[in-house]
Amino acid sequence: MIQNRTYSVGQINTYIKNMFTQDFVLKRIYVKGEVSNCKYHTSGHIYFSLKDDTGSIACVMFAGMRKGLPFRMQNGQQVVVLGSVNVFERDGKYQLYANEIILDGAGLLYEKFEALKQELEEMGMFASEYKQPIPKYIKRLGVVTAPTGAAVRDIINVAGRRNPYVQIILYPALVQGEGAADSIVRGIRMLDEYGVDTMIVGRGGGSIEDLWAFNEEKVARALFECETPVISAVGHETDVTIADFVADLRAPTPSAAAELAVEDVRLVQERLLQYRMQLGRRMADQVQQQRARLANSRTRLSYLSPQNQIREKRQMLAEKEDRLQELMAGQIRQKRHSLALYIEKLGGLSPLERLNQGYAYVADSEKRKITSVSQMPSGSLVRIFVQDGSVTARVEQSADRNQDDSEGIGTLW
Amino acid sequence: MEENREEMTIDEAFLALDAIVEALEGREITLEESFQKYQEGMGLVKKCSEKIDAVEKKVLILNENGEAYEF
Repeated sequence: MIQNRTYSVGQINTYIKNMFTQDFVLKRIYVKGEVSNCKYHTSGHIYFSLKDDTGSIACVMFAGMRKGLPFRMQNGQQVVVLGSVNVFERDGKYQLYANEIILDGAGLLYEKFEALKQELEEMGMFASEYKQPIPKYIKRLGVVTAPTGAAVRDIINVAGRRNPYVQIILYPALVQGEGAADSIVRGIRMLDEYGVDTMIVGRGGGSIEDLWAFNEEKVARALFECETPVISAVGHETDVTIADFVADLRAPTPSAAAELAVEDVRLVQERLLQYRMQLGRRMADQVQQQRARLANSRTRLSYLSPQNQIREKRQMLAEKEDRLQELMAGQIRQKRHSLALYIEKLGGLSPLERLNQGYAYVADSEKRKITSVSQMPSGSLVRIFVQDGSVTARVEQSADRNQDDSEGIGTLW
Repeated sequence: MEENREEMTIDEAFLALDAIVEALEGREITLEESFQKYQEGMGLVKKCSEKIDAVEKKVLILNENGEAYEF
């Protein structure tokens, strides 16, 4: 007899279902794998399996959840399913109940991208030694891109604005879908052959699938073998493709590529204008300078000329003459002055003047001067000179001033 | 390639022009040399202007035969 309690199938299935229902992780989970046994049921439900190397799991997406499936699911697709795992009680099976299904093609492609990137890198196709510098002043610009869309418009606008004299040659290429890689390769080769100074290869933004052509090996080869310098401009700044690694230069956008390829011609023209002005000005300065030097030399030379020397000496002479005359005149004035003084003095001392004043000059008969009474004894002859003549007189009396003055002659004094 | 020559020449021309302008600033340079340098400089400016080839271009399309025609 079996001692333990026995359960019905239903009970066990319910029990197991409860376990699943209470499980935290299985309530909402992302599972990725390859789609197989996919069946779109007439009821609207979709039944499929998700599998990978390790195994598989049954899945169902109910009609009510179909909004969560934005594409037509097919076997072989890599997908990520968001849903819950629970038990289909009746069959005792567990399933993944899908709420949303997204295509994991991106993931797969990314792996492919990484693999190819590594392979080509090892072959040396990304090496900097092979990269050419982008020429600065070009005449012809080649462009490989779609003939419609923002990318080609941006390139033409930016390039045209910076230098409208650059010739742009466009190879209208398929940039996604079937035949894109071949089209791009053809464009690169034909422009390389036609002859341009620089090439821009690219397209506008998109998903990794859209951009995939630029990850193809044949495109990488074409870029590598291209003799013309190439700027890649694929997608947005954050999109990276193999073409970007192989190209000589990578631009984040088509507009940026045009800027890198085409130098602003106005800058060149302005600079040329500046040079023209500077040359003119400097030349004028030089002439001015030389003129000044010439004038200077001329002045100095004329100063040293014999004529000038003579003129100078003449002038000096005239000045000295003047000075001499002045000094002479001064001397003469001085001497005249002294003379006048002497004359005056002399005049004062002149006996004639004395005579004028009433004094008489007394001399003896020998005309010798008489200054003393003693020289005139009584009876002697004396000559008396007055201003208008002279008399001869005989002395009658004399009186010595210092002695007796009985006659009162002293009163004369 | 032609564009390499052209690019080097324009940038080289700028360098040469810088040197010429500097030489013309000097006080020791003779008048004959000044004229020479001036002419050389103006010649370079002219050449660069020609290189710019100031004619506006229309975009060309390259077809499968390798011929280019207007967009």
